[in-house]
Amino acid sequence: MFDIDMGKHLECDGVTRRDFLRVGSLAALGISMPELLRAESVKSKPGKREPACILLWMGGGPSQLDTFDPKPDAPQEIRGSFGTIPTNIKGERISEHLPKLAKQLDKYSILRSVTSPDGTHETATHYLLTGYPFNPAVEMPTYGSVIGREKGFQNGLPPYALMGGLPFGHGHAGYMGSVYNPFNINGDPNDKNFSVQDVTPPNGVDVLRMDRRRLMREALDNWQREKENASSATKSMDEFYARAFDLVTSPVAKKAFNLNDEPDKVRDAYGRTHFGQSCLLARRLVEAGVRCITINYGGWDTHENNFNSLKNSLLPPLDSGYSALLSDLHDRGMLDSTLVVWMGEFGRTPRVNGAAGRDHWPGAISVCMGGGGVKTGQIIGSTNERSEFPKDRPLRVEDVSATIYKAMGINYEKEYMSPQQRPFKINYDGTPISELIG
Amino acid sequence: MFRSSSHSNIVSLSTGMVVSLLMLGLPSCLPAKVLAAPTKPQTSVVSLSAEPADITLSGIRESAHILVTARLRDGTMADVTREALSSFQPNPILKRDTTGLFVPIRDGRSLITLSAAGKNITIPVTVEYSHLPSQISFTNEIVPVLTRNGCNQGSCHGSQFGKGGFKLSLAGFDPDVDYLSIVKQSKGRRIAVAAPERSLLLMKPSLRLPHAGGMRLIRNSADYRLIREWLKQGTPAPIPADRKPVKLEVYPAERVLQKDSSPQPMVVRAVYSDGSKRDVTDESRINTLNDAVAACTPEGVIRAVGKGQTAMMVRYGGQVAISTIIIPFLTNTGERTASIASKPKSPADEIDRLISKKQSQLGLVPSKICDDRTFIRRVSFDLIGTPPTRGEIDNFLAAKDVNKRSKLVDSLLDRSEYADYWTLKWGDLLRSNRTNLGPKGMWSFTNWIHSKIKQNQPIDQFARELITAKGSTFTNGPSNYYRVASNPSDLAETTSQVFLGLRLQCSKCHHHPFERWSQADYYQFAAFFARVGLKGSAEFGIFGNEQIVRVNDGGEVNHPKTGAVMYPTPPGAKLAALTDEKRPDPDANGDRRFALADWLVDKNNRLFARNIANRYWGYLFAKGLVNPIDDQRVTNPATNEPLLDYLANELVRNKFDVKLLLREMCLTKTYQRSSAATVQNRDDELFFTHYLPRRLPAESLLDAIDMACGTREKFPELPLGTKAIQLPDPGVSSDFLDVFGRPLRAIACECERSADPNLTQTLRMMNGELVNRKLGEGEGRISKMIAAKHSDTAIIDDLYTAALCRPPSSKERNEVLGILAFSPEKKPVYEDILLTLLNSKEFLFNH
Repeated sequence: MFDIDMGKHLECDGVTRRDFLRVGSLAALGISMPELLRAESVKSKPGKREPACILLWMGGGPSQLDTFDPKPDAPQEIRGSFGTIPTNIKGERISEHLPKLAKQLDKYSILRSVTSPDGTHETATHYLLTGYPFNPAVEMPTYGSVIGREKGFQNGLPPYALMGGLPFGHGHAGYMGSVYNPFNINGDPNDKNFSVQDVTPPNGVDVLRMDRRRLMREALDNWQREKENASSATKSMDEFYARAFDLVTSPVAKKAFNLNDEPDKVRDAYGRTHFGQSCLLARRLVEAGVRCITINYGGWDTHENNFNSLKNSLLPPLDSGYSALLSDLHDRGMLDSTLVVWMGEFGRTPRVNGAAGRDHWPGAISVCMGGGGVKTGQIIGSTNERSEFPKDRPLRVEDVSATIYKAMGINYEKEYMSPQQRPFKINYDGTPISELIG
Repeated sequence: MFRSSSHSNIVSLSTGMVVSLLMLGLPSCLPAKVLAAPTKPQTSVVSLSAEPADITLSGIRESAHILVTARLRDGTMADVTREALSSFQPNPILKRDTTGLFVPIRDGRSLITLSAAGKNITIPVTVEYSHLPSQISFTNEIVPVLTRNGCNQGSCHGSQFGKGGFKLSLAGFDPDVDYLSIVKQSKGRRIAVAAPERSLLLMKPSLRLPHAGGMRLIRNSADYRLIREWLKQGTPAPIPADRKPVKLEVYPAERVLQKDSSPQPMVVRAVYSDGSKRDVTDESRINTLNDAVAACTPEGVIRAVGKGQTAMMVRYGGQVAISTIIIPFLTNTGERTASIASKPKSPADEIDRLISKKQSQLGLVPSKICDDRTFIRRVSFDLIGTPPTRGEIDNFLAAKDVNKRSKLVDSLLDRSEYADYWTLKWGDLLRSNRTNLGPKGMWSFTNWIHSKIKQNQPIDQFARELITAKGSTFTNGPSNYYRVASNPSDLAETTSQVFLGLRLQCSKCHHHPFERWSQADYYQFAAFFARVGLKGSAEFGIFGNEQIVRVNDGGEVNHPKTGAVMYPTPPGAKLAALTDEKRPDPDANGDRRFALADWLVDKNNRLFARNIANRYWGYLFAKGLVNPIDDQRVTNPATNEPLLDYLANELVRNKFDVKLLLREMCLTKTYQRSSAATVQNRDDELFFTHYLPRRLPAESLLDAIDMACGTREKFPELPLGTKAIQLPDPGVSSDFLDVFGRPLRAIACECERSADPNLTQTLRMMNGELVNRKLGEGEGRISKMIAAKHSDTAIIDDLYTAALCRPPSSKERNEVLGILAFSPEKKPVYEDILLTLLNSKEFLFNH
């Protein structure tokens, strides 16, 4: 219906599966099988990894001045109490409290001139996590959900995983429906008893029993078994059961979720923190086949006591986790295929308030991107002397979004249809940032 | 699907024309088939018909298409427009151009005879003012060109911010604004009246200057020439007195196509405010609603693709219409075994007759009637959201009464769970939740809904009490309707979606893209709520946060663009004829909402009755007659219009008694069909040939798990024994229910409750704490059966019946006994059996 791509795929593999998925009256009526469940694409060529994305989400809105856009020459009430240090890119400096990231700037680029009109947590979170301005009439899908819909499962692993919960309720599949919601990883990966919920069989149920349960379901679940005559709803359900059993019993998944397999040296490098170990888990998940992971690292809403909070609790875990992630991906030859994005919903006010805090400021937002084939080691755009607004190369959130999709090899101009029969492009109207991606 | 940039008409197309189009390299979606269209053997033609039935061409630039259709001996219809020859009596006043379009030669009246396969059809034609030069109408001629070529679509200049600094109204719904943008804005740089060819308006879309939107207008094409002519005339502005389209006529209105039918062209005529008609086929936007059933070129040539029924959506000048296209599943009529009862004895019979009629038109054969066990499980879930107990099943099976199914339906409708379950549904729709209403408001609202459903209050009165509610949100439940949505816009959207099944939201900011609703319609409707206000109570303590709904003495809704005060008007109501002075004072009786309530539930308001009938049909049959079930639109027709009309009539006849409506539906053969599809109907999920399995709603699922496990879920702050279907709102925390799609009650859309599967749900059912805890619970079914030292066979039978409402087959029983024989410890095996049953589709689905 209409002259748009309803999400049909022209893969030459998996034809049988596609045909099977198309049984019934098709997508326009919402009764076809979700695209998420299409067959996995043929294993990529050795040495050539599928693109993946790790989004480090700084919930609450991190201060641009105290991280990647310092203003050492500004007055004290703007500059704040932090100094700056040189990076491994000549002439460029960042906050003194990000020493490890300063030595890794060759592995990412800083966008200093992203700007948005939205300074409210809930709506700005929606904007930055989806690339669409907030609209009360419709919740847009986040990056991971779109990536999941476009690319599907890999090695039996769900395409989109979320750690740290949904920020302000956003970051899910929105109008695309719960099929594309993230696979939620609750709990603290830094906890020695950490395990991924529901993936590990419950207490008292060993491998033998899991196997028995699986065999029993195969033997006993006979109703609507004949695929020929089965309804689309029951076919989807069967597919999800197959996926779930795969996930629970797959050695790949089991291994991916087990952080104890990592040498202490590696675990220490990421930092023995919730965020640090989440980054490590994210790397393991990408390695195993997950296509997008969002790590929600909250606490950046520093209206009070900005400098102490940053210096003592927020920046050190960030510095270790983020930098170790970049270098580890690099060492494993995975960085070129793994886009790592760092951002939050907005920046913070240049003028320090009476409580030694900074308030919401969407006029200037710093975003970092590295890996996934984007050009690194650059500072793109700049802000005025107080870091209030872009001075040159103003970038919109929509441009950041288009860049993410382009790096993931996704046609960001493709349209989906919402249940209200309203067409939406994957990306609203942004342009990929040319300095990052050709 | 916007047109390529040719004005050439392909409707009555000649092969030569297609070839020339292709040679121009235009993106053409014409199927190769068109080029070598098979012509039906003409020997079997019984008669011809022509549409429209008369033609009047008025003015220098009008022309017309005429569809010629042959009725064949086997009762099918075939388009013969292309091969039909034309002759005139007394003399030709039209001529047919190379594309098949009829254009005027001279003024006069005549008869045109169209002939094919030895048959003739004659219709009258009139031509007037054919040589009188006339001013080009910006509204009726230029804007349609912009629309057809995609200039004002949402992704181009019609976007909220325009493109490249040039903004047009979306789909041309605001010609005055468009005129200013084109002619006046940017100091008039877009037009050059002295040298029309040099106007940006022509240079850019024809790519003589760079244009981000690409080639839109071929130089010297008919559209191009029309714009050039308008520029030459000095860009005449929109004239308020211009005739306005008020309706569209579409031909054919309905057509059955066979898989191998030759392509079917369409003709669209606009009917204007002055009563005149004009062929606007080439200016309309025509889209198929389901390209898996039938495809359509931008020019309106329809081609069969799959099987089923769909419609072509036609849009022109803010008006919409459809043409229904049916492609039978089976073409061999001999196989159509669906029997059509001659004299319906009951409403259920009549429903079955209308369903059969549609199925037979589509060549579909329904499945057989389901067995008693399936029926009691199905109807129990559907009417009371609760599975039957073993005792209920045994009693029902044992009964010999031929009317036992209808008695079962009656007894279920009398159960207390009926009110619980339907309170859940209406609580969703009316969004009763403590986040918005506070706990006291939520309880007051939910309890009110429950009491009204329990007493089976007619649904019209239920609606009226909500619409006219006043007073404390704590002591008068329905007044919370005005707290869930509290401004005129939200109230208009909620009211129209819940009670009329209309999604007016789009027309808040622009003309509805698929409907005739304008912004004026939206704000006129919102005006009914202009004077409702909330007043905070000054109470402290337990009555703190109380709100009082009251009607203020003043307050209006203004049109966002014109600023005009909107007169409260229901959508589609004909108040246009009354001038401002003649309109009655809407507040004469102190509260304009009463007029709204009167209109809403008036038995002649088809919108209300159709919406309620469709919703309840959808609840029982998993698919509405209109889908989504709360999206009634001209461009979203029911799959079975006569049935929806009948159900709406029944609802009115039964004085809006929804229990009676449910009863009639449950007693149909259609409802009682097996969910097992057959070779003859497995491709159908829309025409009710078999019962469509759907996953149990979250609350029913949890209650069914408890029944199977012999356990009771304890919800926070509610007494043990409270069932999930009895929960007052989503504020009662339950991770399980949230994962399985319980809605937050944040929006008034049925779509908020989700039955979509996902990986988290599956893992939760397999490995989740809740399910695994219940399996082996000390007071649970398995523990009790073991303690009572029942035999393996008895336990297995009990587990099966508790979960699936049936005993195991002997094969299943033997499989399980086999596993038990090898297991020293039996409890884990029973647990695994029960878990397996809970994870089976047979359990998870109502079927």
